[in-house]
Amino acid sequence: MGPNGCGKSTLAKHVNGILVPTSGDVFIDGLNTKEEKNYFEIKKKIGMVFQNPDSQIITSTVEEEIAFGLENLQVPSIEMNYIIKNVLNLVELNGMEKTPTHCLSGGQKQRLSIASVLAMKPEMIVLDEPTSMLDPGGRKKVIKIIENLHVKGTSVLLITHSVEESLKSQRVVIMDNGQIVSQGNPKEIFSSVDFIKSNNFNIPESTDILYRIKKHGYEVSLKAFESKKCADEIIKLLENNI
Amino acid sequence: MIRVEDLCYNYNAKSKSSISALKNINFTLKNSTIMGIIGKTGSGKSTLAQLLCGLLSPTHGKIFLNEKEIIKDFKNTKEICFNVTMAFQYPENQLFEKTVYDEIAFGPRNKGISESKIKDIVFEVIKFTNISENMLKCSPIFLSGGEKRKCAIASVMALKSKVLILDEPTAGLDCKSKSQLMNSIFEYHRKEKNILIIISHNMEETARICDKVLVLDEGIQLMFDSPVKVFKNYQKLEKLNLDVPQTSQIMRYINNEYPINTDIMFPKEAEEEILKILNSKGVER
Repeated sequence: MGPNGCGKSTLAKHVNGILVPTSGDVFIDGLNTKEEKNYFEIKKKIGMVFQNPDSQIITSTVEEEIAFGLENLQVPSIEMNYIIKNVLNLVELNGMEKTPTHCLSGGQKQRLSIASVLAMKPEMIVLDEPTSMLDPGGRKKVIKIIENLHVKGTSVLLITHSVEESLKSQRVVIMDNGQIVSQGNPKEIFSSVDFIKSNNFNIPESTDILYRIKKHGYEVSLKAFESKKCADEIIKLLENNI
Repeated sequence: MIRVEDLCYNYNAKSKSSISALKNINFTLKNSTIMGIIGKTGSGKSTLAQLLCGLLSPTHGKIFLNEKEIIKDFKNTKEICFNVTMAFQYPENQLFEKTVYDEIAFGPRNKGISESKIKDIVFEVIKFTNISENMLKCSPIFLSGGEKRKCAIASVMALKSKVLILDEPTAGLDCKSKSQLMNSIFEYHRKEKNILIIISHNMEETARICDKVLVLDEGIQLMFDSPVKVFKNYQKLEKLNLDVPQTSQIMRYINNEYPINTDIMFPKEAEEEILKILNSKGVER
């Protein structure tokens, strides 16, 4: 996380070797991204999804889009069909194999780009603001898919501006001016309202309300990020007196 | 004033594969109103925007700008283009002039305004959007993402149109740039007293600045009302997979246990309301 221009995307591009460091090294499972002989191996391990799906989708149908990466990996076509079905299921686009890609909505396109990366079975997936162009429904779907991936053992590196989304992670890294300014457990980091304010992040309204109440001297926890938990916290306060 | 009467739009209207994108839209906007359009992807938001600025012509129904029909024939297209302007989503992809100055001056030049007046306009709009004067000589290509966005918005502001349509003006910006840009758009609106139409997926933003909210679903006008009244229908909105501002959600949860005002949409008002109840109950600090 971090403001526009702080180097998030630049860092992400170092992870799969699109960019190589000017100085220092990036190792993926012990493989240095600087060494040309490692390129193929690294690209296989790490999948990347960009912010704007339109800049990633190149073929004319959904099925071809997913097959593109597989063809490059020389997967036999019988297996390919099986994989395509499988990943389309994962991103809830089942039955849309023959749909032209230009007929998809923004959310569907974003899920297709995730599917075509998943088809290559990467060990780690890097997502650069995958939800910033989507409506709330599409956003929730994509986040759900990412969560499921993680449960199944894929590492996820997610770039986002949303505090809510980052709360689902185990570790959050905050960047500014090309440097890491802070990192750790998101619930710890984002329960400090002063920290959020000084770094110009959007405070979830739940935290904002609890913070305002706390300032008046009432005892409430700031770690309630969901609406329900925040309401419970206030109800608990009201019940104190009975 | 904008009046939309029984507006319908079908893509490929004359062929068999005709797709109906908008059905019977009706609304009236008085001068200097801000309207938000919400709806999921594919609900017809952008189609409506394109109809309003005359890029598409209605299959059925009429749109009036100050009692004059938009696109009656194509003779007055140019007039519409200057009266109703639009910034598309990710407008920074459309920057093409050599310098930021020329980029902003492009619209007014096409309008036939004299260079000296254009200079005044450019300096006026860069003040609204916080673009520094040294930046005017730069090529827009070398600006950062946030600066490019500001430049693109400034260039539509420079047209000084009666109606300004913005398609997700803050998508993809960080929170500071987001609130800065929103504030500058609001300031501009206050001065120009134009009609502002904002398409947004951010419900908190919509609740905060809009006077009216239009909810679209699959081309149908579901609601057209003030934000308070629209977001009261949270069940309808949640069915559409749209969010409501988080504060109003929290107030509703509290209301399940303790009666509280559920019309509240902003943290500051919520603070006052909760404090009032805490005080009346005499809860210890």
